[in-house]
Amino acid sequence: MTVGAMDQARDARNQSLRAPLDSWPGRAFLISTQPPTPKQRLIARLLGVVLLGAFSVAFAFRHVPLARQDAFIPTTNSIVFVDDLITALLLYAQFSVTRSRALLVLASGFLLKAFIHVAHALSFPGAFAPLGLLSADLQTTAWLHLSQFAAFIVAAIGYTVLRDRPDRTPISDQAVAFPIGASIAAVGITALALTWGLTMASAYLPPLMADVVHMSAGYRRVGGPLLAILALGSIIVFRRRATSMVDLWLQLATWSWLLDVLLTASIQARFSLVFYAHRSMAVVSSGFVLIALLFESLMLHRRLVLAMAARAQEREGHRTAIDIIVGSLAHELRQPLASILVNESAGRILIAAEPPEREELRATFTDIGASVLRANEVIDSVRNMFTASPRDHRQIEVNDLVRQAVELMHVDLEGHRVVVSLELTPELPPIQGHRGQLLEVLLNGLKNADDSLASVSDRRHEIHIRTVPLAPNGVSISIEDSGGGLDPRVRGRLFEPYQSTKPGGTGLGLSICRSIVWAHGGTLSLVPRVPHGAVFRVELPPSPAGDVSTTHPATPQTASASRPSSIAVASTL
Amino acid sequence: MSTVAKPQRANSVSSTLGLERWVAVVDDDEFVRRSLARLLRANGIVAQTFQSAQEYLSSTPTTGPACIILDVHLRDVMTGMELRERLSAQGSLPPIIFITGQDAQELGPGLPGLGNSAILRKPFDPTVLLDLVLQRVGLGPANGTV
Repeated sequence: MTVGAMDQARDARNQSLRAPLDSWPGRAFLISTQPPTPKQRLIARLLGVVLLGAFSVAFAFRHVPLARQDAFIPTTNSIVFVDDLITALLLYAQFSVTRSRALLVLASGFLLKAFIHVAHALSFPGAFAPLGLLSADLQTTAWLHLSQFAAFIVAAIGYTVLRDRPDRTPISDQAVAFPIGASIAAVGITALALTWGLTMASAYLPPLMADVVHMSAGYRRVGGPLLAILALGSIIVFRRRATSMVDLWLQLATWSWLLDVLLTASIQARFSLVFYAHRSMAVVSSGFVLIALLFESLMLHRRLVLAMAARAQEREGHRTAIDIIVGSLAHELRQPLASILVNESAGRILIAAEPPEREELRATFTDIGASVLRANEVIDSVRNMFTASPRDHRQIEVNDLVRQAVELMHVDLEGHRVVVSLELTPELPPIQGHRGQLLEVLLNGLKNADDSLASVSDRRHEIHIRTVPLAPNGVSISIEDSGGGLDPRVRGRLFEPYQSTKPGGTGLGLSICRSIVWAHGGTLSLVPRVPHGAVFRVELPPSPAGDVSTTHPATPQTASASRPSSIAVASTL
Repeated sequence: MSTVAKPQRANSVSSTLGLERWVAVVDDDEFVRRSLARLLRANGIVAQTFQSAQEYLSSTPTTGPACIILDVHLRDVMTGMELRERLSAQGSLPPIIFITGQDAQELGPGLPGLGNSAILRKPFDPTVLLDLVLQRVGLGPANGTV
């Protein structure tokens, strides 16, 4: 990718981000913008219930003393550290695309929580040294533990408050490394300052621990209200409805955080059941959040890949139609051009004759003028086919559309010695739809039929097109060919991107056809025909069931009134 | 629909060719057909136009044309190529000058063994066409009146 191309891509994205995020096309592929499905909401609720169950059990048996395991805290903290670190990275990555300050705050919160867990493990008495490292005293570790609760809920509240607020001064793409770097640096400094400050100030803070194992009376008196205040803060997170997947999983994380806080508040001594349980809950919840975010990211990535593939195939379908139309346009234009040139040449001779043949000269000029108008009509007819806006639904006579498609393909079909027979039921009910799009579908269907005949040498090349009414007031169009038929290996997957039976093609252009037909509320099928070939069938209802414009972004959107006209009309003048 | 263009000038080539020497123009485009007839006629060549292969086949001239200017792509049942095959099968194949609106690569390998035929892509240089016609009707360009 060249620098220019990168600039262009960036400009395009800056442009698109200036629009509200709601209408940004990339939003379907980011966990921070994609709304959760009802199923995902249900799963999150179920997980919340499971966590509540685990909490209830731990709470019921909270005072049961268990054996002291000095390796427990370093182990659980390491896991939480890694989980939170990766979660923070994921969120920073989201931020780098959406540049939403809310995400930056949340990422910073997870990073701070990760760092505090390191300090907590290092300073925990008995873990790495009998009284903990970092010259911490008895109280430092407990205060660090409370501060990681605070780090999480402050970040979660910050995210929730900021998430729906439009960023007044958007962070530009060039500067995206700076806020991330600044955030990481600030978090690192905060973590160091917190550890150092709590160590230095522990003499002045209310003591939380009576000894290495037991909580002091101050733990209940000071720690309890502190935790209660933090717990109340979670209300802010829960009150806002989750509008993105990040919101949803953050709510679940906050729920498990809240349960963890309640367990922590009920601890009377380390190495009791509740002590082990609350750390386990922290591990489980950080893992939940990470796995959920990773899973959702990968699912969206999968969707992105499929969408890209579909997009490429859509282009293929459009290109087929464009190739046919350009070929037909060239052919139709060369007729008047040829007659102009020949008339010009004849005119030179006529004018040189003695005496000049005035009548014939006049007829020559008339023909030249008529040919120019004729060429112009050809151009107009092509323009009118495709410049209608996608929303421009109009009454379409299906039989006309079929004739037009055959007319456009005429040169190709004739070159391949294909005999086209039409069986058009007269006075079909008119269809509401987008003429250019439906024409594109028929052109792709005809092209497929034509291509499948290329390999046939032992029988006539035939395409039979039939239109029949479909109760009530619908129309069915079928394009039957006597060609090579459908490859059984791809039959079930014909409409998927990149399914092609053609050596040069990336697809049959069928997925775009199907989305067009679906958008018109109809169905499209491609089935084998007996004894040879295939049937491409489009069934259209009397009126569209959906908004065509939403499924067909690649159609030219130049607004222009479309007049019913066609190459067929022009070429028979 | 067919038009017999009469020789207009006294010193035209048709006097040396004789009236039985005529050129058929088969093209489904009315303007192309008419302009070609006009060009030939201005050069003193008798021309008759047909809008389809069928019309040509159903005409019963006493003598066949000295040459056919034939559109490869005809809108009706029979294409220019098929007409040529038909005439070839009948053993009455005059020299043919194909004209076409298609690109050369679009024609593909569909023009095997043209023999005494030639092919011009529209829009063609009328003098080139005229030279070809004069060669086919038995007069080289050096003898022509172009």
